[in-house]
Amino acid sequence: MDSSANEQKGQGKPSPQANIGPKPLLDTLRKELDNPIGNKILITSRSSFIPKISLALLGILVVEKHHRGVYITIERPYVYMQSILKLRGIPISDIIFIDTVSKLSGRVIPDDENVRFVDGPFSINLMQDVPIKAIQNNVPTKTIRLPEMDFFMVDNISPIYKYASSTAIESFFCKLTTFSSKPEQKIIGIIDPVACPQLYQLAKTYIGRIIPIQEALL
Amino acid sequence: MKNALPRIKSGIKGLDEIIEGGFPFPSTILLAGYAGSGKTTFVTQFLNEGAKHKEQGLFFTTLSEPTQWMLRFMSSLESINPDFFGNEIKFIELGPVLRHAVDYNQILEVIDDHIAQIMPQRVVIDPITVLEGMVEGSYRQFQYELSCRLKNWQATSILTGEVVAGQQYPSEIAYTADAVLILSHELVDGQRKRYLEVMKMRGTKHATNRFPVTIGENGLVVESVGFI
Repeated sequence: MDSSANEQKGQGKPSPQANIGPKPLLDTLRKELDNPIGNKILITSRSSFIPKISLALLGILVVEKHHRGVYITIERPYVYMQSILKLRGIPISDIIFIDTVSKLSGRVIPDDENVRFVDGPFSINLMQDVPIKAIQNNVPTKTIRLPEMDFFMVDNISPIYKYASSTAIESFFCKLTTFSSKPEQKIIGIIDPVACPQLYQLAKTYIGRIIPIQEALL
Repeated sequence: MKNALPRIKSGIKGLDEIIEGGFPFPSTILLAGYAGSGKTTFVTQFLNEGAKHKEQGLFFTTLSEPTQWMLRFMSSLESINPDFFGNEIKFIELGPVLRHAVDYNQILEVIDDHIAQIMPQRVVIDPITVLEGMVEGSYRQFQYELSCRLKNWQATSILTGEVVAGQQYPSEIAYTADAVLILSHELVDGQRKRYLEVMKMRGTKHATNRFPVTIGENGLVVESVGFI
């Protein structure tokens, strides 16, 4: 996809008309994100709803809460979510994208300071370190320190099982959920528990607070 | 750790039973058939099924027939809820874009823009085959790019393909599609009979029979009971 085509759209301040999701979904997510019980959140949903939930979460975190965070995409190039965000005026400069698929798919890798590319979702052993190493070691124009990040979000954990071993996945979850040095930092995973029950059981052991998003909220 | 692919219901009675419960999500599906074989009915039911479950549908019409005429006929089917039209199911006429596009990237960008705006879970392009003449020389590249983008947008998409006598399906599209379904009809004892066959569906153990198809008030039905 030609990301430059979207460069002129939606850059800058969030539009007051930005549509980031239906009200029942937004209300539920706002409530859960403000819940002090736990900052490690596993959102469950049908696979087909996950892009809309991701948009709603990023909209709330970045636009409403002014958070800065890391968005990890497992199966699709980051440019898709990036263009959805730009179109709605959500400032992408506050998000570091970790993209595990663009290199693998042979796509032209754009020179984008907010993106770090992993060789592929197969290299999940590397990926477990990427959120730390990429941000600490390889930022060309500004230094973004991990402790300053407000959230880490994995958009659709479900496809990981297609690319990596159980051991590697477990190691990834372990790393993801223990490196936080900021108590209020949010770790958010989104998963389709029906498509991948084993992975769901595993994810639950690391990200304990489950928030089911049902059809009625959308 | 092995698990099944996520699937969405097709909306076609009798079809999900022969494809492990539904279409893989996301995926790109070629639905090929002669004129009158039921392609547009099929894809309208597919979008209608999603709308029943809060999934947004996007129907791109190319140069087939004016949208209002198609909707008029589809609304008469009992299984289609016309309240979804314009709401859960949005229609985009690609005709004007196709008439003025200089190259296929312009067509892709228009499709991208609409999808990014609406974020549909189900997409239909009906028919895709009219684009062959417009992107001459780059048709396979265009199909590959389109198929990748549709999946990356996280949608299950059906591209319909018109075939002519002697042609089973448009092969250029079949290469890049995750699934190929063929609707056909033939004269049997002086009567036209319709059939559906699943030629290919990646990641799916599908039936390989040719199943009879009926189109009535309840829409298009695959008569798979008794075959599987």
